[in-house]
Amino acid sequence: MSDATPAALTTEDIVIVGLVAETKEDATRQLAVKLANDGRVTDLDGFLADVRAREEQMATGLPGGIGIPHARSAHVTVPSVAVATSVDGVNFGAADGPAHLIFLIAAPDGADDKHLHILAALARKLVHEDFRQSLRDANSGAEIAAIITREVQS
Amino acid sequence: MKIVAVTSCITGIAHTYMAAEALEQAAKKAGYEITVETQGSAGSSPMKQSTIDAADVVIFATDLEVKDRRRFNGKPFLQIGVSKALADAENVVAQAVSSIATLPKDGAAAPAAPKAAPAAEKAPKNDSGDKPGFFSRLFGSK
Repeated sequence: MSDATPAALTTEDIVIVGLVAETKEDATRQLAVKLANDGRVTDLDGFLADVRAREEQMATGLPGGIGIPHARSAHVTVPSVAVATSVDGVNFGAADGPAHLIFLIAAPDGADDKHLHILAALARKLVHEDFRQSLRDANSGAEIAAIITREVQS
Repeated sequence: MKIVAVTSCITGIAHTYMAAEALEQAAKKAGYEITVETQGSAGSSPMKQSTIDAADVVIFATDLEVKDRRRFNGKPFLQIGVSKALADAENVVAQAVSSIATLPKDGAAAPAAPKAAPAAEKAPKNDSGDKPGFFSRLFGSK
């Protein structure tokens, strides 16, 4: 490990607790705005276009009530995961219903292995219901960010 | 029961790893050994050939072409999309194991071989052979 510790994947600044969104596009945009405001995305519309291109290939709703819009993009500066919890859920095209947890996963185009390993670790965690439950139960963005950091980057 | 699996997806940052985890969990639950090679963006570390050789069945949960596929030559394999492994891992594992006898063997009938094969191999090993005269006939040597 020659580099400093990589920046946190998720901080409370890029979490939305109690997201209200009619569509997955709306949900994705709200999260992307968080990334842009935090300096993690340099070109909001360019990034959203990359996410949309991926989403059009196959919807990213998954069993267990999660949606994972994602892209590798030249408009991303640091591997990031913006997270939203939604009481009503947002339709991400999963067979078993709307997503109550949404993870907007952003990877820089030229990210190196070390950084992408962190995203891979998060992806593996998403499969586990106890992990998802702990995020749904969280009451604040800080709590959600802390859970992700603890589980993925420790 | 030993299973090996390969996962891959278009972007290579999410489904690849989620499917790997789901397959590992499902196999563990069923009491099987499994080794998964994630061919994603975070660098893929190829599994040992000895691991492949020892496997009873292969699961390709891949949306992209399997890298270095020849490593799996002769192995019975189940080909599915990465999403199916993610959504239905337990059934995928069960299906792979229960249908070993009837699954196609990798490399056996490779339908697209002639066109896909880059630069006809020199075939020093004469592996698919049994036709010693094939090349001489092809090139008309007498």
